[in-house]
Amino acid sequence: MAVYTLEVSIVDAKGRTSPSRLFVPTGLTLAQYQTFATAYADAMALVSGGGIRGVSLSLDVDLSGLTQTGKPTLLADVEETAEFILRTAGGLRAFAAIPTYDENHTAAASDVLDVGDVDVAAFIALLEDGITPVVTLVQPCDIGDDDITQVLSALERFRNSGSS
Amino acid sequence: MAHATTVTYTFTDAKAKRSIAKLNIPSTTAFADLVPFAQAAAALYEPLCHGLISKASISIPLSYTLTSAGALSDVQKRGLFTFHDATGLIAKVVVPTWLESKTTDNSSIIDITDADVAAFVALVVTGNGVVAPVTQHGTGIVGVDVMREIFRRTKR
Repeated sequence: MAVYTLEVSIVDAKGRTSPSRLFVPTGLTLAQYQTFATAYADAMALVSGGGIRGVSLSLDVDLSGLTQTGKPTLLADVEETAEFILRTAGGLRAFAAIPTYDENHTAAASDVLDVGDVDVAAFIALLEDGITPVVTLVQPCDIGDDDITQVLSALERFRNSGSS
Repeated sequence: MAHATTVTYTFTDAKAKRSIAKLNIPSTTAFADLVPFAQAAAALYEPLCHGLISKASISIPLSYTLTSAGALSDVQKRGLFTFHDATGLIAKVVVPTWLESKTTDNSSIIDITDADVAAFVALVVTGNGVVAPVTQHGTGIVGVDVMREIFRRTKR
Protein backbone atom coordinates (compact mmCIF):
# COMPACT_ATOMS: atom_id res chain seq x y z
CA MET A 1 0.00 0.00 0.00
CA ALA A 2 1.41 3.36 -0.98
CA VAL A 3 2.36 5.85 1.69
CA TYR A 4 3.85 9.31 1.67
CA THR A 5 6.82 10.33 3.80
CA LEU A 6 6.87 13.42 5.96
CA GLU A 7 10.44 14.55 6.58
CA VAL A 8 11.64 17.06 9.14
CA SER A 9 15.24 18.20 8.73
CA ILE A 10 16.95 19.09 12.01
CA VAL A 11 20.23 20.95 12.42
CA ASP A 12 22.42 20.90 15.51
CA ALA A 13 24.72 23.49 17.08
CA LYS A 14 27.62 22.33 14.87
CA GLY A 15 25.64 22.79 11.68
CA ARG A 16 25.13 19.09 11.03
CA THR A 17 21.71 18.09 9.78
CA SER A 18 19.76 14.90 10.23
CA PRO A 19 16.32 13.92 8.95
CA SER A 20 13.41 12.49 10.87
CA ARG A 21 10.81 10.62 8.83
CA LEU A 22 7.22 9.63 9.45
CA PHE A 23 4.87 7.79 7.09
CA VAL A 24 1.45 9.27 6.41
CA PRO A 25 -1.46 7.94 4.35
CA THR A 26 -2.13 8.97 0.76
CA GLY A 27 -5.37 10.45 -0.52
CA LEU A 28 -5.52 13.78 1.31
CA THR A 29 -5.03 17.33 0.10
CA LEU A 30 -1.75 19.20 0.26
CA ALA A 31 -3.37 21.66 2.67
CA GLN A 32 -4.26 18.81 5.02
CA TYR A 33 -0.71 17.49 4.92
CA GLN A 34 0.56 21.01 5.55
CA THR A 35 -1.62 21.39 8.65
CA PHE A 36 -0.45 18.09 10.10
CA ALA A 37 3.19 18.79 9.23
CA THR A 38 3.10 22.08 11.09
CA ALA A 39 1.64 20.42 14.18
CA TYR A 40 4.16 17.59 13.97
CA ALA A 41 7.17 19.88 13.57
CA ASP A 42 5.91 22.04 16.45
CA ALA A 43 5.64 18.93 18.65
CA MET A 44 9.08 17.77 17.59
CA ALA A 45 10.60 21.18 18.36
CA LEU A 46 9.53 20.78 22.00
CA VAL A 47 11.45 17.51 22.49
CA SER A 48 14.58 18.30 20.49
CA GLY A 49 17.31 20.83 21.00
CA GLY A 50 18.12 21.37 17.36
CA GLY A 51 16.69 23.81 14.87
CA ILE A 52 14.17 22.83 12.23
CA ARG A 53 15.63 23.61 8.81
CA GLY A 54 12.88 22.28 6.59
CA VAL A 55 9.75 20.17 6.35
CA SER A 56 8.81 18.26 3.23
CA LEU A 57 6.42 15.64 1.93
CA SER A 58 7.80 12.93 -0.37
CA LEU A 59 5.98 10.54 -2.62
CA ASP A 60 7.17 7.75 -4.88
CA VAL A 61 6.18 7.70 -8.53
CA ASP A 62 4.92 4.61 -10.34
CA LEU A 63 7.22 4.03 -13.33
CA SER A 64 5.58 0.87 -14.63
CA GLY A 65 4.48 2.77 -17.74
CA LEU A 66 8.05 3.18 -18.98
CA THR A 67 9.31 1.06 -21.86
CA GLN A 68 12.34 -0.41 -20.12
CA THR A 69 11.13 -1.56 -16.74
CA GLY A 70 13.16 -4.76 -16.29
CA LYS A 71 16.89 -4.10 -16.21
CA PRO A 72 19.49 -1.74 -17.66
CA THR A 73 21.14 -2.52 -20.97
CA LEU A 74 24.62 -4.07 -20.89
CA LEU A 75 26.14 -0.77 -22.03
CA ALA A 76 24.77 1.28 -19.14
CA ASP A 77 27.33 3.16 -17.01
CA VAL A 78 26.44 5.84 -14.50
CA GLU A 79 29.77 7.53 -15.26
CA GLU A 80 28.52 8.40 -18.75
CA THR A 81 26.30 11.44 -18.43
CA ALA A 82 24.76 14.18 -20.46
CA GLU A 83 25.09 17.56 -18.76
CA PHE A 84 22.92 20.55 -19.45
CA ILE A 85 23.85 24.07 -18.36
CA LEU A 86 20.70 26.11 -18.06
CA ARG A 87 19.79 29.77 -17.74
CA THR A 88 16.81 30.98 -15.72
CA ALA A 89 14.51 33.94 -16.33
CA GLY A 90 16.38 35.77 -13.56
CA GLY A 91 19.73 35.17 -15.26
CA LEU A 92 20.89 32.46 -12.88
CA ARG A 93 22.55 29.23 -13.94
CA ALA A 94 21.07 25.84 -13.26
CA PHE A 95 22.07 22.34 -14.13
CA ALA A 96 20.49 19.08 -15.30
CA ALA A 97 22.01 15.70 -16.00
CA ILE A 98 21.16 12.33 -17.49
CA PRO A 99 23.19 9.47 -15.95
CA THR A 100 23.85 6.39 -18.15
CA TYR A 101 23.59 8.65 -21.20
CA ASP A 102 23.34 6.90 -24.58
CA GLU A 103 26.19 8.23 -26.76
CA ASN A 104 24.24 7.57 -29.93
CA HIS A 105 22.59 10.96 -29.34
CA THR A 106 25.91 12.86 -29.55
CA ALA A 107 26.90 14.67 -32.74
CA ALA A 108 29.61 12.81 -34.65
CA ALA A 109 33.23 13.49 -33.60
CA SER A 110 32.06 15.84 -30.86
CA ASP A 111 31.01 16.09 -27.22
CA VAL A 112 27.93 18.09 -28.13
CA LEU A 113 24.51 16.50 -27.98
CA ASP A 114 22.84 16.38 -31.37
CA VAL A 115 20.03 18.92 -31.13
CA GLY A 116 18.69 17.57 -34.43
CA ASP A 117 18.04 14.25 -32.70
CA VAL A 118 14.33 14.01 -31.92
CA ASP A 119 14.85 12.65 -28.39
CA VAL A 120 17.41 15.33 -27.52
CA ALA A 121 15.11 18.01 -28.92
CA ALA A 122 12.21 16.70 -26.85
CA PHE A 123 14.31 16.75 -23.66
CA ILE A 124 15.52 20.30 -24.33
CA ALA A 125 11.91 21.33 -24.97
CA LEU A 126 11.00 19.82 -21.58
CA LEU A 127 13.66 21.91 -19.85
CA GLU A 128 12.96 25.17 -21.70
CA ASP A 129 9.21 25.06 -22.28
CA GLY A 130 7.84 22.40 -19.93
CA ILE A 131 5.09 19.93 -20.66
CA THR A 132 1.39 19.65 -19.94
CA PRO A 133 0.89 16.37 -18.07
CA VAL A 134 -2.83 16.88 -17.46
CA VAL A 135 -4.30 20.27 -18.37
CA THR A 136 -1.86 22.73 -16.85
CA LEU A 137 1.57 23.53 -18.22
CA VAL A 138 4.39 22.62 -15.81
CA GLN A 139 7.73 24.29 -16.55
CA PRO A 140 10.98 23.22 -14.87
CA CYS A 141 12.75 25.81 -12.73
CA ASP A 142 15.81 26.11 -10.53
CA ILE A 143 15.78 25.31 -6.81
CA GLY A 144 14.62 28.86 -6.11
CA ASP A 145 11.50 28.59 -8.30
CA ASP A 146 13.08 30.66 -11.11
CA ASP A 147 11.84 29.48 -14.52
CA ILE A 148 14.37 27.82 -16.85
CA THR A 149 14.27 29.65 -20.15
CA GLN A 150 17.31 28.45 -22.08
CA VAL A 151 19.65 25.51 -22.43
CA LEU A 152 23.08 27.11 -22.77
CA SER A 153 24.94 23.89 -23.44
CA ALA A 154 24.25 20.19 -23.74
CA LEU A 155 27.37 18.07 -23.55
CA GLU A 156 28.37 14.46 -23.14
CA ARG A 157 30.48 14.18 -19.99
CA PHE A 158 32.24 11.36 -18.14
CA ARG A 159 32.40 11.18 -14.38
CA ASN A 160 35.26 9.74 -12.35
CA SER A 161 34.62 6.15 -11.27
CA GLY A 162 36.63 6.54 -8.10
CA SER A 163 39.19 4.04 -6.89
CA SER A 164 36.92 1.51 -5.18
CA MET B 1 13.01 32.61 -1.45
CA ALA B 2 10.47 30.06 -2.56
CA HIS B 3 11.83 26.55 -2.62
CA ALA B 4 10.98 24.44 -5.66
CA THR B 5 9.45 21.00 -5.66
CA THR B 6 12.05 18.44 -6.71
CA VAL B 7 11.62 15.27 -8.75
CA THR B 8 14.52 12.86 -8.17
CA TYR B 9 15.15 10.06 -10.63
CA THR B 10 17.44 7.16 -9.75
CA PHE B 11 19.31 5.51 -12.61
CA THR B 12 20.82 2.04 -12.29
CA ASP B 13 23.52 0.85 -14.67
CA ALA B 14 24.62 -2.61 -15.81
CA LYS B 15 26.98 -2.92 -12.82
CA ALA B 16 24.16 -2.11 -10.40
CA LYS B 17 25.71 1.30 -9.67
CA ARG B 18 23.23 4.07 -9.10
CA SER B 19 23.15 7.78 -9.79
CA ILE B 20 20.47 10.40 -9.45
CA ALA B 21 19.21 13.27 -11.55
CA LYS B 22 17.05 16.06 -10.15
CA LEU B 23 14.49 18.16 -11.94
CA ASN B 24 12.90 21.12 -10.16
CA ILE B 25 9.41 22.36 -10.82
CA PRO B 26 7.59 25.32 -9.29
CA SER B 27 6.38 25.03 -5.70
CA THR B 28 3.00 26.26 -6.96
CA THR B 29 2.47 23.18 -9.17
CA ALA B 30 -0.91 21.61 -8.43
CA PHE B 31 -0.71 18.48 -6.29
CA ALA B 32 -2.66 16.52 -8.93
CA ASP B 33 -0.14 17.44 -11.64
CA LEU B 34 2.96 16.25 -9.79
CA VAL B 35 2.89 12.51 -10.48
CA PRO B 36 1.71 12.85 -14.12
CA PHE B 37 4.51 15.37 -14.72
CA ALA B 38 7.14 13.10 -13.17
CA GLN B 39 5.95 10.17 -15.28
CA ALA B 40 5.85 12.21 -18.49
CA ALA B 41 9.32 13.64 -17.87
CA ALA B 42 10.68 10.15 -17.12
CA ALA B 43 9.48 9.09 -20.56
CA LEU B 44 11.68 11.86 -22.03
CA TYR B 45 14.75 10.79 -20.05
CA GLU B 46 14.34 7.16 -21.01
CA PRO B 47 15.27 7.24 -24.73
CA LEU B 48 18.45 9.17 -23.89
CA CYS B 49 19.88 6.67 -21.43
CA HIS B 50 21.08 3.07 -21.37
CA GLY B 51 20.32 2.63 -17.69
CA LEU B 52 17.16 1.71 -15.90
CA ILE B 53 15.19 4.51 -14.29
CA SER B 54 14.67 2.44 -11.19
CA LYS B 55 12.98 4.96 -8.94
CA ALA B 56 11.40 8.38 -9.01
CA SER B 57 10.27 10.40 -6.05
CA ILE B 58 8.86 13.86 -5.54
CA SER B 59 9.79 16.08 -2.60
CA ILE B 60 7.38 18.91 -1.87
CA PRO B 61 8.65 21.60 0.47
CA LEU B 62 6.11 22.50 3.12
CA SER B 63 5.84 25.85 4.80
CA TYR B 64 7.36 26.14 8.27
CA THR B 65 8.97 28.93 10.24
CA LEU B 66 12.55 27.74 10.60
CA THR B 67 14.16 27.69 14.02
CA SER B 68 17.74 27.87 15.28
CA ALA B 69 19.65 25.12 17.00
CA GLY B 70 20.19 25.23 20.76
CA ALA B 71 23.76 25.56 22.01
CA LEU B 72 24.08 21.98 23.27
CA SER B 73 22.20 20.30 20.45
CA ASP B 74 23.83 17.38 18.67
CA VAL B 75 22.37 15.17 15.95
CA GLN B 76 24.10 12.16 17.54
CA LYS B 77 21.68 12.39 20.48
CA ARG B 78 18.42 10.83 19.39
CA GLY B 79 15.04 9.84 20.69
CA LEU B 80 13.94 6.50 19.28
CA PHE B 81 10.24 5.65 19.23
CA THR B 82 8.93 2.31 18.01
CA PHE B 83 5.23 2.51 17.23
CA HIS B 84 3.02 -0.41 16.17
CA ASP B 85 -0.14 -1.08 14.23
CA ALA B 86 -3.01 -3.37 15.26
CA THR B 87 -1.22 -6.46 13.93
CA GLY B 88 2.17 -5.70 15.46
CA LEU B 89 3.90 -4.20 12.44
CA ILE B 90 6.21 -1.46 13.63
CA ALA B 91 7.11 2.07 12.55
CA LYS B 92 10.28 3.61 13.93
CA VAL B 93 10.56 7.35 14.39
CA VAL B 94 13.83 9.01 15.31
CA VAL B 95 14.10 12.50 16.76
CA PRO B 96 17.64 13.87 16.21
CA THR B 97 19.04 16.35 18.79
CA TRP B 98 16.93 14.73 21.49
CA LEU B 99 16.59 16.85 24.63
CA GLU B 100 18.07 14.74 27.43
CA SER B 101 15.93 16.58 29.96
CA LYS B 102 13.01 14.58 28.51
CA THR B 103 14.62 11.30 29.56
CA THR B 104 13.87 9.64 32.90
CA ASP B 105 16.67 10.19 35.44
CA ASN B 106 19.34 7.47 35.62
CA SER B 107 17.79 5.70 32.64
CA SER B 108 17.65 5.61 28.86
CA ILE B 109 13.87 5.53 28.90
CA ILE B 110 12.10 8.57 27.55
CA ASP B 111 9.82 10.15 30.14
CA ILE B 112 6.27 9.64 28.90
CA THR B 113 4.94 11.65 31.85
CA ASP B 114 6.60 14.73 30.36
CA ALA B 115 3.85 16.82 28.75
CA ASP B 116 5.81 17.51 25.55
CA VAL B 117 6.74 13.85 25.09
CA ALA B 118 3.14 12.80 25.71
CA ALA B 119 1.90 15.32 23.16
CA PHE B 120 4.41 14.11 20.56
CA VAL B 121 3.44 10.47 21.06
CA ALA B 122 -0.27 11.29 21.01
CA LEU B 123 0.08 13.15 17.72
CA VAL B 124 1.80 10.15 16.08
CA VAL B 125 -0.65 7.61 17.52
CA THR B 126 -3.90 9.47 16.96
CA GLY B 127 -3.03 12.09 14.35
CA ASN B 128 -4.60 15.51 14.25
CA GLY B 129 -8.12 14.43 13.31
CA VAL B 130 -7.41 14.48 9.57
CA VAL B 131 -3.97 12.97 9.01
CA ALA B 132 -3.07 9.93 11.12
CA PRO B 133 0.45 8.48 10.68
CA VAL B 134 0.86 4.94 9.37
CA THR B 135 3.49 2.21 9.08
CA GLN B 136 5.39 1.81 5.81
CA HIS B 137 2.71 -0.73 4.88
CA GLY B 138 0.00 1.92 5.17
CA THR B 139 -1.56 0.46 8.31
CA GLY B 140 -2.65 2.78 11.09
CA ILE B 141 -0.45 3.29 14.14
CA VAL B 142 -2.27 2.37 17.36
CA GLY B 143 0.37 2.49 20.07
CA VAL B 144 4.00 2.89 21.10
CA ASP B 145 6.27 0.06 22.30
CA VAL B 146 9.70 1.55 22.86
CA MET B 147 10.83 5.06 23.74
CA ARG B 148 14.57 5.27 24.30
CA GLU B 149 17.31 7.84 24.21
CA ILE B 150 20.06 6.55 21.92
CA PHE B 151 23.37 7.86 20.61
CA ARG B 152 24.82 7.54 17.14
CA ARG B 153 28.54 7.32 16.48
CA THR B 154 30.04 10.56 15.21
CA LYS B 155 31.06 10.31 11.56
CA ARG B 156 34.68 11.25 10.87
